[in-house]
Amino acid sequence: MEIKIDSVSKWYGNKPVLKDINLTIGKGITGLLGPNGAGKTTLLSIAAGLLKPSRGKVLINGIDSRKETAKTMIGLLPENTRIPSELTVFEFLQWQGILSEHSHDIERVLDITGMAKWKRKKIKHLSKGMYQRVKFAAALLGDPPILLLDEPFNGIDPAGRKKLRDFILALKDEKTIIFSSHILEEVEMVASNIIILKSGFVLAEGSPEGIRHLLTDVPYKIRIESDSPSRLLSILFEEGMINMGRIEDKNTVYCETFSFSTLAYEIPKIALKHRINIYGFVPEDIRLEKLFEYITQRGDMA
Amino acid sequence: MKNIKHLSFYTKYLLKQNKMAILTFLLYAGIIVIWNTINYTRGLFIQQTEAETAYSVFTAAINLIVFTVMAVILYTSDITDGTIGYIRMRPLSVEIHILIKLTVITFILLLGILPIYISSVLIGRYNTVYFLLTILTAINISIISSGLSVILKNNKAAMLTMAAYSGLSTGLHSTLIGGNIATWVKTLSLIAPLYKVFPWVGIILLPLIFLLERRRDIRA
Repeated sequence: MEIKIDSVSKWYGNKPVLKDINLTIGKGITGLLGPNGAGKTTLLSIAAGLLKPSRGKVLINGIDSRKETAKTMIGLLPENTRIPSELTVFEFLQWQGILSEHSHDIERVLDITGMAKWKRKKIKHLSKGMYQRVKFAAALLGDPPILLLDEPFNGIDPAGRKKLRDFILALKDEKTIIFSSHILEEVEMVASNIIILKSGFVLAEGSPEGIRHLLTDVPYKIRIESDSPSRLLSILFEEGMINMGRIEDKNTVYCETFSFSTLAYEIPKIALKHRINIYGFVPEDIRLEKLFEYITQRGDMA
Repeated sequence: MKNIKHLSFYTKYLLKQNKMAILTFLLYAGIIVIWNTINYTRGLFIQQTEAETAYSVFTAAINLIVFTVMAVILYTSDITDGTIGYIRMRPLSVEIHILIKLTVITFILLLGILPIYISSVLIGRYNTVYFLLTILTAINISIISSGLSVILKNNKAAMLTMAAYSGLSTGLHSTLIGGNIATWVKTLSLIAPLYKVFPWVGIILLPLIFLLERRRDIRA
């Protein structure tokens, strides 16, 4: 199942929100990452057929997303759309089941989301985490092959987040899932493909590792635990392998390099050659947050 | 079948989500009914309003304003509470949903309008034409008020416009009823009393509601 976003632009009045977006998204989990106002919700609304693009189109397996047949293939967890507070969980899902002609599926989605116990409870009496789970249950009705999840983790406590994250991860092999978030940690943990959106532009797209390679001018950082850190540091400087280094404590050297091969192969080789024992070799993970900051700054400059 | 089930659930949704507004509306209708009944039992009102029809009693400006406000509250309910997104993301035609919405609103309005009308019969005159006009007026109020809500995209503006329209038209009707000017004033649809212009305003507005609702953008 494929989502093809073809030259999509969207304006609200004179304000451009999305600018010529071209993406093809296949099976697996794709994280849509961007700051508030980047256009994430607009893009998901267009993909779900709720918004009409000002230009371009979104095709769901070749069908325009505005068509009713396309809507049968999509499960959407919207961020802003509320659930009628006076209905019970079951009544709401029953209504959604009638509209999508999947009334038979209610018990299954209640079980998956762990909401069976609370199905007779009024929606206004649910916690934020349960509320999100009801929205997730509604998105799962009819077992649609595509799930669009807009900020699914918003306002949920850590335990609730883990639960929801596990629900999403359990579906990664069978569905095309796009979820938007500005919680970078969640994207890192869940997505196998990342799209970075800023001011309506796609700044970067690829695997978390692939995006990391974009950072050509951000050094790799490493902490090495050794029995002779000062000797190791001076050798690394002499050989021109590192750009910056310092002794952090009596056993640890911190250094930075722009070369991935130095990081991965050369430093261990040098240590072996000079008979320096290495006990720990800990590359500092370039967290997605830093990546995001770096790429969005580059976007601003562009 | 799906549409009938949606109608039943949409009715449940409107009744539950707007129960305070609907109860207030029914309370208002109840007061008018009691008032009419008391007047009937006293035999006073019949004498005073001999020339009036029962129909004109309940189309008084204040009633129209109350019905209008109720129709606007009901029509905008799923828009203001965001439920519309959950309806639109499902494979259901926008036109069908609007027709279902208008049907339910008409039904709820009739819950108030019919008792008022029936009690008005006690103190006035009854015939089948007036009875049919009552139902048609309820439909027309639903369509016109809903149309204005969609066009103005603002509940308050829609209510005020509709209220002003109802008040002005009914007021002009009453003021000019005895003179020749009234004949042509009443023919001007925009200021003529609501029940006189049925079904034209509704018929013109309905496709406009479809068109504008189709173009309504909903952010997820």
